[in-house]
Amino acid sequence: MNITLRFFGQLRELTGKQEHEMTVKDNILIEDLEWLLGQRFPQIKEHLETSSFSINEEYVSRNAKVNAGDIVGILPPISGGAE
Amino acid sequence: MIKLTKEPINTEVILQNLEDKSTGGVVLFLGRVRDHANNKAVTKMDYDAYPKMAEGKLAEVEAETQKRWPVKKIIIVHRYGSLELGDVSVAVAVACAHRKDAFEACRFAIDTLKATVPIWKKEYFKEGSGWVDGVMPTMKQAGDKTTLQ
Repeated sequence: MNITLRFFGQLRELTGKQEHEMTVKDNILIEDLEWLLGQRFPQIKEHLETSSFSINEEYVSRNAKVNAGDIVGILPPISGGAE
Repeated sequence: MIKLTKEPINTEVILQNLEDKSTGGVVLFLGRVRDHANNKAVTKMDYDAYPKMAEGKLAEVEAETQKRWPVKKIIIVHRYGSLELGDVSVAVAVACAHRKDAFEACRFAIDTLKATVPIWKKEYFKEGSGWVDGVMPTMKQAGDKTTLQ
């Protein structure tokens, strides 16, 4: 199945991609996708552990299932707001 | 009302939109781009955002704040894009009948925003630049009935 990845902040810079289409096995779990991303984009491997994931604009845990056509966000630690 | 925008934040307009004769306490918090970080001079700041998701999370902050305090009016605006020193990056304005509620609600809204809204800051120094260390977002997942921390 095909999914769309979206990278933000430092991850967007490191991958050089804002959006990336990827073909993965059906119903892949986020934790397995995380592993795949580490293989496909070794330059962000060390950042994935501290990153969060979203599916269709909602935060999800590592055991969430991804469906065909989903938009998966790979989100480094957030820093909006104000100190 | 919530808004994510690339345009400068106009605080006069925000205050006009808070007008309500039943509210005696109005708190306006502004976050601005500071000229230093960790003893280094900052020259400007870029804000990256996941716009659609950030708007959804800002709306959740608004709803949760209204649920917890008797808020008559609340306006949350976050700017993104390239900002100069002193530019307002975020505004949270709350109007309540009494000041105690307004202060508490405003504090909750800005703190929760910081912990949940997908926005990232990049600081520029005289030499070089770097992404600001952030926090892991407080998870509020789809279908999750628990409230934000």
